[in-house]
Amino acid sequence: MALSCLGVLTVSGLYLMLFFVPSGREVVYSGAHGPLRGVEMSAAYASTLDLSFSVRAGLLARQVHHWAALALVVAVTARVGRTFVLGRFQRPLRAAWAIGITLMLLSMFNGFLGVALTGDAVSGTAVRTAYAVALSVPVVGPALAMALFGGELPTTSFIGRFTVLHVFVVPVALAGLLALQLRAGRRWTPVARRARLRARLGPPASLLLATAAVLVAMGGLVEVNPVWLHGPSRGEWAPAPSAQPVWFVAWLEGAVRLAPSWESQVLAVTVSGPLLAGAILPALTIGALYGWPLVDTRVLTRRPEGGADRRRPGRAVRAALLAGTATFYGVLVLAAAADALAAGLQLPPGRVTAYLRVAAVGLPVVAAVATMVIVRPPGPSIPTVPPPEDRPAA
Amino acid sequence: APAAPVGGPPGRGPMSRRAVLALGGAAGALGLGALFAGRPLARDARARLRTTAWRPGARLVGPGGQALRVNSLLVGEMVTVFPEGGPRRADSQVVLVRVAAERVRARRDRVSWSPAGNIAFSAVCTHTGCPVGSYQAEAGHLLCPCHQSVFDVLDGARPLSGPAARALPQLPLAVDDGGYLVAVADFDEPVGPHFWGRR
Repeated sequence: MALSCLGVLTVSGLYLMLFFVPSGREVVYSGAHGPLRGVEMSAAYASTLDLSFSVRAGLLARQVHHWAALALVVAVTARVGRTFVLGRFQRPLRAAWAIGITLMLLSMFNGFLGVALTGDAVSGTAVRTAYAVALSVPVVGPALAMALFGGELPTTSFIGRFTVLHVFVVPVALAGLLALQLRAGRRWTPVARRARLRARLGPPASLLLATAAVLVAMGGLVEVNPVWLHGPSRGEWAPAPSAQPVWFVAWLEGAVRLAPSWESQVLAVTVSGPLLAGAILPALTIGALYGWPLVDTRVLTRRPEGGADRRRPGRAVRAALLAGTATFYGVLVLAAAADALAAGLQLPPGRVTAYLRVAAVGLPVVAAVATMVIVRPPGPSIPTVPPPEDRPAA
Repeated sequence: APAAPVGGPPGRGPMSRRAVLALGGAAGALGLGALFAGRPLARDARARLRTTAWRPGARLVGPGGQALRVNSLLVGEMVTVFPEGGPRRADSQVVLVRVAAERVRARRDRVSWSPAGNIAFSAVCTHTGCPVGSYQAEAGHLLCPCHQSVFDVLDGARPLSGPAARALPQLPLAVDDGGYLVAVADFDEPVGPHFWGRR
């Protein structure tokens, strides 16, 4: 499915590139969309509007591209999730695990870049937040922000840099890693299981085509990322309630909102909310994902040498950790819509933030303890976890 | 597991000592180079972040381009202003509010900064730099639309709730001979989100 998404992304992306103007030059819009005529905006945003309103099949290509990007993230994330639940990340599959994580992170990163390129007001908020996070990084912060974004915000020079990354660097890396993963998967998947999969899903080509067909249909029928709604990204204005560009940055956005309002010195480093939420939390998350096989072997499994029951001792702990972690990130995603939530519940936004802060700390603990109680470690004689080869594919 | 990687001499690790040394040396040289190249870049970046376009005597211009007088705003009104004649840099945007002068709880050294209840704060949120927008006149609260930080304009734009940790910097105002509102000086601290080397 990831392969199919990447194919659709490439084709639709190539079409978009024919018309997209990767420039921050200020222009006065005079295109087909009446409400924005006469408004000053970046050439990038103007060309995105033209793609949506006057280029033949431009809107289709844009929406197909967006849906395929979302589906790609879903596909690679689901693969990581399945690998985790099945515990298929130990030797000889460690490299495959690391590749899977990298694919997931790169596809999310490229999704963010793509959203930032459109130059509408929603993307402006996302870029601004990313810029503040870059600034907050110890030692290199200001230089890093200037290097990434090409100047003090709101600069539009980031558009050129982001374009090179978005259409060349990251896609090439994605394609290479995906090829590696597919090859590795072929080598490491037992022949019997491969045959079963094929029997259920049909030959790979039909899955590829079906995915592509669904994505194109979604692009044609379901509106996504209506860039014309909020107008161009501007220095002196931000839309409220702040809209979310894509679901997979929502946890970061939520974290930025819930992070404690600190700006305090810890060992000569100023720890601020954006640093905690935008740099330290993702770094920990990424580190935990890459490092999980090691943690699992060293800490949770008492008999790493093997045997059919080798994954049993840490089973309850693992389930509890998973539940707690999922709850934590769930609260963060919810917090990304805190202002809409506050409006819906007719509460002051400050109070909603306070409630969510408590929930982000408390609920994961509750979930983890509850899971611990439900999933008690089974007695030593009952083999509850069959070795992965005997299980039906998830 | 195989004892040695394919092609490597037997008995050695996956990487020879010479390779490790060469790699380490290359990384060190690169790091040193980056340090030399990066330091002026960082200093330049910080200098840019510290200043805005506000100069002593700069008049405040509203969205229509008109300079604002001391009575242009009614009590309870808010407007986003820029320095006259300068480029509309985002770091120079300022919220100007007019409140009843007796409600202002100003620090002693800032009493003169708000002539006739005209108070100006940097509009760049100290959290992640969004422009603070919606103003609730009765309470004197400014809300940032991005992450819902609330600032109290009557009390030096102190953050009341939300993720912002620092007050919005205040622009010292005065009235010039023509009755126009002017800035006394640039902000006395950097505007916007925190960055390394801010202090």
